[in-house]
Amino acid sequence: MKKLLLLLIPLMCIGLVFSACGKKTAAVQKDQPEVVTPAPTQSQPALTPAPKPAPLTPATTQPEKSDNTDKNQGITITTTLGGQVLQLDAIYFDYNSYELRPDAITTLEKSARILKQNPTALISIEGHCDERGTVEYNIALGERRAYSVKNYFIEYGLNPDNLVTISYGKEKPVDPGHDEDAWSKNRRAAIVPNP
Amino acid sequence: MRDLRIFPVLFALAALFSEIGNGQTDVFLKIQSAETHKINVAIVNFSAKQSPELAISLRRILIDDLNNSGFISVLPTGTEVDSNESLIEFRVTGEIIQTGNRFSFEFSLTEAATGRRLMTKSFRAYPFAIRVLAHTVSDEIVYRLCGDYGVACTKIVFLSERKGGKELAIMDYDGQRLSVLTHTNSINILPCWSMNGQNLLFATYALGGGPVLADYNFKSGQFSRFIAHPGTYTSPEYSPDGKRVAFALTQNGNVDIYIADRDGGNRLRLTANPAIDTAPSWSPNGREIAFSSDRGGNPQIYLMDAEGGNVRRLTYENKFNASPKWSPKGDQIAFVTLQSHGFQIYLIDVTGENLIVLTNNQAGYESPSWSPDGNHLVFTSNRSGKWDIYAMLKDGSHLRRLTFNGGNTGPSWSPRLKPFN
Repeated sequence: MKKLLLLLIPLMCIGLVFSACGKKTAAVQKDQPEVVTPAPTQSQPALTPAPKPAPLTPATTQPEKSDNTDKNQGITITTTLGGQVLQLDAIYFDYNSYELRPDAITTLEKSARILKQNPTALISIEGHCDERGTVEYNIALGERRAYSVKNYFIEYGLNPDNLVTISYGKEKPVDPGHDEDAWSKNRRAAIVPNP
Repeated sequence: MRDLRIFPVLFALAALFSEIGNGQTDVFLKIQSAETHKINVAIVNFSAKQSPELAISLRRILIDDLNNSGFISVLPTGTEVDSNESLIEFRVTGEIIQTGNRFSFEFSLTEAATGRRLMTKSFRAYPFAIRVLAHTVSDEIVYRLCGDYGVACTKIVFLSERKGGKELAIMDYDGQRLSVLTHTNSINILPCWSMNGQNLLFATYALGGGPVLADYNFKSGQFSRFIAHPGTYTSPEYSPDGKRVAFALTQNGNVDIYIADRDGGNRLRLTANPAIDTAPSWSPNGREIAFSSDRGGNPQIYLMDAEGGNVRRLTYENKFNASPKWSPKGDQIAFVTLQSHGFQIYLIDVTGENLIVLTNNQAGYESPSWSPDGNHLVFTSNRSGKWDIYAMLKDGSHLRRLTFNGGNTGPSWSPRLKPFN
């Protein structure tokens, strides 16, 4: 539990940064549980999912813009797998960051729980970026976003052999716009079950 | 390959290619930059008894080519010719003679002041090869006057957004004679030319999974996987001697720069840093490689030796510098910098001095690629509202739009292609 608290501190710091950003963020906070607890049911505390820490995280991944998390909703991949309908929501990132945000962890936790019940499902994790990076840089950044998700799933206890990452960089935006609203939707990782 | 079919035609005319020039040692303009005084040339209407329309189009293409060189200014002729008479430094005259289904074209370049004939050459060609013929004549004139081959005979490969993805497309340096090379219904990115102009390397999603490198062969019109080893591959660039390829490879989520032989063998890792190291670009002598890395906290341009050592940071201004392209002349590096309206194209000396902004920050400008003579840059911009290919001189002047239908990105300028020699 101590370990969990240590992990929560940086998350809560990010939460504080958000709350400093005003009205929009207040709405975000409201939508989310008060304390972000990524732990699923408590039978296996060792598998408590957490954002992949230090080695891949540069010092400068503070959010650079306030994020319209409330507008991000809407990309859901629905697939029927073994007769069961899977709803795996995309998660979103801050600009030039591959760190999992609290809202992303909430979403991923839901997906992980579903996938855990489908242990044979093969999953592609697609990393995407907004247009404010070069083609080649964004392929690398998208790959890291996909890896952040993959590492979360592995720590949750999913089989790494079932998880494939693929980066599309900025090649497949969901919103062709050139403003923060569009960018925030494009900085995402999608979880796609392979048929 | 359909698009290069005219080359054999020119091979055929190489045999008939004659030269009556004087000793060609004097060069009239050492190409430095567009601020250099431009050479004023008049192109007298070509005489053509049987095919006047051919003469008119040949002359029109030649005028565009010479003006596009950036170092020659073609003076208007016709009724205005008299008022320009004193400005004319050189005069081009020519004659077209139709023989059967082909025509011959003989032209001369004369120094206006002395009447001295600097060169006379003749070509035979089929009418459909008229653009190639005009480009060839232009390069000859530029070479004679400036001592450096022009780029009129070069081509540009780029990515054209089509239904299902981004396909490789090719066009002449002036945007004409466009054709699509691949039909993958997938995403292809980051093309680069082999030094002999016979192949392209690019990153593709067409082979399943994430991007891997593929080699496109112009002769066969086919592409095949380059380096079978698993991983995410991007940013290929041939070394200047054509023997090696630098590229970025992601393994276990971390991207580093590697080189390999032309056939993909002898893979060698040059960087081993947890940061994003990508976009390698060779110096023209093959001894160094420029690349972008966010190892200092945000993406900046770095240089290293081609063996991977001696890494040093080149850029310090601004927070996002990427896509370095080493000039074929060796002295400068073009790159992009993120500004308020998108990426802008900058130049910097390899010493880290003389940072020059080339674009206006009213729109995005990305993916610069040098012309083989190092005098021009081709790039993509959304300045019209959609992404299209543009070219400019390396001082930012003489901006020309090459495509108009939108969805065109990632250009790569060919090496000098020799239709004959």
